[in-house]
Amino acid sequence: MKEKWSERLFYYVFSLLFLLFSLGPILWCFLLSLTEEYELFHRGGGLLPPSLYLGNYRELLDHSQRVGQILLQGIGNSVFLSLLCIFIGIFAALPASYAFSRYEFRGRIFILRLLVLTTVIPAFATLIPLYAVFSKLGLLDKRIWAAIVYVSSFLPLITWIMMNYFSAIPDELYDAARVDGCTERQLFFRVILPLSGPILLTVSLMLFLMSWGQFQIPLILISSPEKRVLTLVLSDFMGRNDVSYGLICASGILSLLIPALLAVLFRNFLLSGLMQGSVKG
Amino acid sequence: MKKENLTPWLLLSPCLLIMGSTVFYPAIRTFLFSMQRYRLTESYDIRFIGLDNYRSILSSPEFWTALSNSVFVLFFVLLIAFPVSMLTGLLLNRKSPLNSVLTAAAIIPWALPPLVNGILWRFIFYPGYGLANRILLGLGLISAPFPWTENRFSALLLAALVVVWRVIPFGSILVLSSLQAIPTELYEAARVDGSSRFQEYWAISFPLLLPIFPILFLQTSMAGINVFDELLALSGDRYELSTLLVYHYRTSFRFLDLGLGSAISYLILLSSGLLGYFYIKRIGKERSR
Repeated sequence: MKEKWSERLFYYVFSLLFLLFSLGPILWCFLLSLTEEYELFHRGGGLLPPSLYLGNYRELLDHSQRVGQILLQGIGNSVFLSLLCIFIGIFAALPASYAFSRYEFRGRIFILRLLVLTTVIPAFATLIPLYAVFSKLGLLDKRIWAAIVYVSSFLPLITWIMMNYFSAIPDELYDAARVDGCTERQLFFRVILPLSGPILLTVSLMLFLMSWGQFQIPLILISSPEKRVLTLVLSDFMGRNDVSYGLICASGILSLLIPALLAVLFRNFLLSGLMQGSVKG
Repeated sequence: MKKENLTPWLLLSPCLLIMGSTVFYPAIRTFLFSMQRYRLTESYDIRFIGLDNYRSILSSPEFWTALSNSVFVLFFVLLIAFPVSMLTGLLLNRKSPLNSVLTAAAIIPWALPPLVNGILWRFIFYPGYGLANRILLGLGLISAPFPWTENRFSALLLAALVVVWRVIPFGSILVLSSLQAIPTELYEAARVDGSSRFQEYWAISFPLLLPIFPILFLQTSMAGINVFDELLALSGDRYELSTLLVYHYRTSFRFLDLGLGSAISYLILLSSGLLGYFYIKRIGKERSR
């Protein structure tokens, strides 16, 4: 296929624009994090800071500084909640998706539709009674219960994706195992589970990233300062007067390292998972 | 598929337990709350008032402002994100080693917490000397810094932009991946038949992209409706800038009027449920195994 150099050029230019658009804001934040406080408001400021100021990062990574401690705690809490979410999410979604894909039963379509319907509903819509019930039962401020609420927002999507995955496994596999005399349970543990590796990875990634990004749920359900997740910590920083913008930007950069790294490393899994989520049966 | 009635329900139980207790049951309770006069600040006076909460919401300017803001944001998000994702995906469609890099860059905005997205963009459009103002001032296009996040119209557009920033790279890559799955033979055959580039797009690429539409639409509209984190980070919860979710948050958790807040919740629930309904109508027509 003959290709004009102009098309080639266009492609590269366009790709550059795309990269700039996707990563630009992060780049700017990074630059800001390397800027000293007064420079931020300097009138004649150009785009680049006059000198690279590492003070912000030093302050954040210094164990004796309050700011660094709070940030680290936030990251720790986010990691804890996200891991919890993966655990609970898979525990609920794996059997459910298997059931949907493998069995025909009364109410199957109804439940399926109900689940998918809840995907569009913002978490906030049900938070008030949740807050009321939790406070009556003394469940507020416990991270485990917050994790369960997190899971409820992602569960339909996760179940759906896994269901499609299981449905794509060829019938012959099931039949062959049956011929070999497997019971359903043996079938599941010996045949299906080992095959589920990729999808479990995909689903864990999605659960991790989605819980990492949660803000509304922890805002309402978690109150004690030492349990605050990263998103809460960052929004606190934004509202305080003693945290400079350079510092906020540095915190932002540090906090996006984990999700960005995971997303980039496992991008293919994430994409295939999401594309499967769009296939209907 | 096996026909059984006990095992599947057993398998479904953890899932149903979680969803039932954290979504379905609260949804019903929300409705009950919404019909009560329930202010945390006046907890001695809780009584049933029927549809009064709904009446006061529908007649309050705050609600209509929030509603129009939400619709505005959603509209712009869909308007911009959808075609641009498609276009970008089409334009970037080549087997190039760059694809890996592009995908990596594109997935980052999607993977970050929406709050962080809001923060990032706030620093670009910071009313003082954020990046946007610096560039515009430097180019001499404006003479004084523009207060992006103060003005209602621009603040909402900004919120839409932040959402768009998250959706477009992601949508483009989705489109790109689907396009790459189209076998080149199709294109070659078309070229042999003498079709132009444009005809190729129209007759081959476009129809084969249709399966992607639902998820693209869903992700985009979900992002648009759920605008909350970004808005809060961009400009705080000001009255005239609020979208429905922000309005809800303010009523329930700042003013502590749970009855009114529940009614708002229910309205939000109903409207997003309606959207979801159109999406789920197509489910269930799957093949049985």
